[in-house]
Amino acid sequence: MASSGKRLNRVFAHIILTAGAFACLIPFLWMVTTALKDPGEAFLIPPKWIPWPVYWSNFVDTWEALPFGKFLFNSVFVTLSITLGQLICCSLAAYAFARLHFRGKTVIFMIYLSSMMVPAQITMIPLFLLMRALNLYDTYYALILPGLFGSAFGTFLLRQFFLTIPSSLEDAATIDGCGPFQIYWRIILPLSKPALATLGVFVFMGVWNDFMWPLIVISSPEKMTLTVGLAAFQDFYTSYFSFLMCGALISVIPILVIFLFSQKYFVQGITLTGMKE
Amino acid sequence: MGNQLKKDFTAWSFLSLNFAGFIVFSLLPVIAALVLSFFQWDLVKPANFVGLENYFNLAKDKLFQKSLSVTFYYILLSIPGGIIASLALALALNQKIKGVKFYRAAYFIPVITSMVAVSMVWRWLYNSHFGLINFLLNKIGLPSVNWLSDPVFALPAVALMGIWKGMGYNMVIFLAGLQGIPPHLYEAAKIDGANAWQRFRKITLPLLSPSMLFVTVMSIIWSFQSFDQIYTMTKGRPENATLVSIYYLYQNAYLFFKMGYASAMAWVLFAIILVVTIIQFKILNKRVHYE
Repeated sequence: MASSGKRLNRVFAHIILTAGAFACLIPFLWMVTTALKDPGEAFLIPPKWIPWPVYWSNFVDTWEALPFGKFLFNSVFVTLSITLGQLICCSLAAYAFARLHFRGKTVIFMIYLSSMMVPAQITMIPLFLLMRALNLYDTYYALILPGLFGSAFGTFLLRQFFLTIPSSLEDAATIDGCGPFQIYWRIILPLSKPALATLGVFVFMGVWNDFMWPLIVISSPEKMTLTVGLAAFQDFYTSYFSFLMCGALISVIPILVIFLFSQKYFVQGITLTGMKE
Repeated sequence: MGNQLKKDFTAWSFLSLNFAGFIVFSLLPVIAALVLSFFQWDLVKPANFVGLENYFNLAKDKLFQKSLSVTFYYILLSIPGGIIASLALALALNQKIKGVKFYRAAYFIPVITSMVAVSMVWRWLYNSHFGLINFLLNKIGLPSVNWLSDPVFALPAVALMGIWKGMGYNMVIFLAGLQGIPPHLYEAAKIDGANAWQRFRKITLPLLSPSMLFVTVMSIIWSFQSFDQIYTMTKGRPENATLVSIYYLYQNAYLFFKMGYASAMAWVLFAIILVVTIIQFKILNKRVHYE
């Protein structure tokens, strides 16, 4: 009696889950088919699902229509730079907040926390003006500098994690004559690999997919990131859906690949942000 | 005293990079944005001080009011639906079935891909003549809809895409919340004769309320930032039916170059988000159970 109820639950669950999975994946499948089809066949009714023959030339045409190679390079360069910068700067700062005692610590931490509440639109306008004033408008500096030195969020996340590391390890190290930096480098960092991986993955995703800031601060195509380049592509080739889907596919593949290899860190990151301290 | 100084120095050497970035790219801009909101500046003529005039003009700005109603309508369209969808998925995934990793990966793919790319795909899906959605509607006998060019359907269309994109994210949060509910509560309820629906209402929902609060608050805050999809799919059209506040802000700042006005708008929007968040906490906190 109880087991058949459980089985019914499970069947029902599978139905819901499969429907959900279908709903999530179909748009992507549709994107792939459209990207690989003969451009003329994109407008067939009823729509043709299997792209045969496969028009790999769509990719070539898309790649050459706009500087997608540059877009890809820019996205990779900017994202890796900021991710590295954030990991370094946030972990250093987080260590200070978690383990070191200095005057003004609580006040500064409170200011950090309250800054997390301020939405990006407020700071975007002055930052835009700052970049223009420093003649850094439309440069890589404008893309990288604001995020390079870390964020309040990343510092907060790592601080929470560092606090969970038993201080006995550090005490032992101090007795052995280690200074704070060595403790940070030899003990805290190696033990924090999961938290660092999680933050890294989150920052990567955020910067890779960032649209509004690069849109505002870059005007020349050679410096555009994939998101902005893709939007510009759509402005020029509004109805060339085969090529548009090609472009979308190109911009989506890198993050999908990373996701497949680091799925658990994505999930971890989300649950971490969802847990109240 | 010298020891504390040394400690301070050590701490600051760790903190300096992060803190310097914070000052230059977070704190100072926030202050600058406030100051800027009391000026009028179009980047060409010199800035001139106008006091609270920007704020008064905002109150009279019909387009701004329209953008607020669009934003709130968008929230109404996307949040309840989104919560139901992700909760359903979380409940299903919690049933200890096989293939969890596969399902979760499937739901995450919309979450991790860029909103621009996803909006482009959906723009193609919503195409009035050749889109997949109208094709499927026609197949079951329903008429085609001009999804993105009809003022009535445009915002719901964008909202639906927003629900689709965020399902996996909220599902994970609900799942974590569900897994925190002690199973013995369900067993005790079963012994007392409660059926599945009663167990859901009396145990699951109340104990899930912290996650529910979090998801609701974050989703609403996030809705105020829905720029990418509007830019890519509709640019505020048709007839301003999708002119969300952040898009109107973008127009004022970076297309019309009304820097002071836009700054004031950004602050007003922030104030609105703050008030809405506080109201949510007050209302929902009464019903949030933490044990």
